[in-house]
Amino acid sequence: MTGSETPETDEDPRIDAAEYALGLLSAPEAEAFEARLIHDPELRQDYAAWAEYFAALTDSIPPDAPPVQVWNQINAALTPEVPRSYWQQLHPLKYLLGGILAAGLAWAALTFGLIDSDTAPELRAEIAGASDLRVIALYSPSAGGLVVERAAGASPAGSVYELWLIADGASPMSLGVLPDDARSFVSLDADQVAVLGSALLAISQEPPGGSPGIVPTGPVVAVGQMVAL
Amino acid sequence: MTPNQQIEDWIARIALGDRDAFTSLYGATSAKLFSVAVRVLNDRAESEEALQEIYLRIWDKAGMYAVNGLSPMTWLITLARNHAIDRLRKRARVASRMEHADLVPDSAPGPAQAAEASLEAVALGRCLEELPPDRAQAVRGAYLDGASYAELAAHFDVPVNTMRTWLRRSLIKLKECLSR
Repeated sequence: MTGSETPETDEDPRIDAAEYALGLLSAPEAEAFEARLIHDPELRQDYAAWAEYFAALTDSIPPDAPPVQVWNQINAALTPEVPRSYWQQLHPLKYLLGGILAAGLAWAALTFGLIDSDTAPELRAEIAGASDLRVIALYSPSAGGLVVERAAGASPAGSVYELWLIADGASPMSLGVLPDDARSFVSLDADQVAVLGSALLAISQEPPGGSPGIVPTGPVVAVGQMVAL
Repeated sequence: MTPNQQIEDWIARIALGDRDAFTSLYGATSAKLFSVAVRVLNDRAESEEALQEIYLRIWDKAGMYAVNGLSPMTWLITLARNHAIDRLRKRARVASRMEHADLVPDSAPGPAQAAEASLEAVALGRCLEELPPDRAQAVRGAYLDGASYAELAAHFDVPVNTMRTWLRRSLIKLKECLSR
């Protein structure tokens, strides 16, 4: 069990998931709880169950439409700062040049031993979405790439799943088609490793062989943020 | 697609910077999230500001959606509720509102509302009824009014440690009931 830090020995230590969901833990307690949450899938389930139940307390509040200016202000706040529609806006040639450049740098880095992989932290992403697909990607510095575990979900007949790396504000980079194996390995180049900490991983459904272009062409079925372990 | 799948799909697209998906999500969920903010903050003007911040957070955090395993509406409601309560607490530090104000007595949903209530709401309502009324009120007060242990203790006029033991025991009973 994980409750050794709670003094009340007669009580269910897991009840702190409920206290956390209610916002009753002090700031240091909440931080400690969040740290445990990352490593403890059972605790995450526990928290999720409480969060579902407590969110139901809002069922009895009648919906209340906000005035139109709220949306206008949200829109205004997004427009100047976040030109993020990378799918459409970037010229295709830019992707291509970026890819060639990245490949060149990766070659240089590997050849000259510039990748200081031992100092990079371990990272993890849980990639999920509306489908039953659940994929866990673990970055292992010593291996120099991602261990990709397909926890659930097979690609629909006649299509494949392709993995994409999306650095903050950058265009998606293909990490290749996911094999049907439960576990696979994707090697990363130095550029990809450098941006991994704040990157998103996404999985799109593509025709056999993968996206015919350099961006996803099929629906994006799962997304996950890399988080430090 | 079920409504939940639709919302998950929008969240996934928002994580990739899709403004159209963001517009759709806002259209489908803003009345709900605004009502949660108004319920917590009890101030429409402040709730409008809070709602802007909430949707900007959704835009930024959409990629984190899958991390905690919440259903999409719960993720959105939790984000909205927590943000409104952060604001409330900042305000409360100045005004020490619990001294004079009270926990808004939120009764269980009436029959008409119960007809539309989710399974979770029905189960939770039934299990809260098994608790002494003041303890059920404390649970609701913590979630919907953002009351801290200190505020709950002041409201029920007991020491903070007593309040904590009290509420933890109530939560254990609640968990037992919800697991049945």
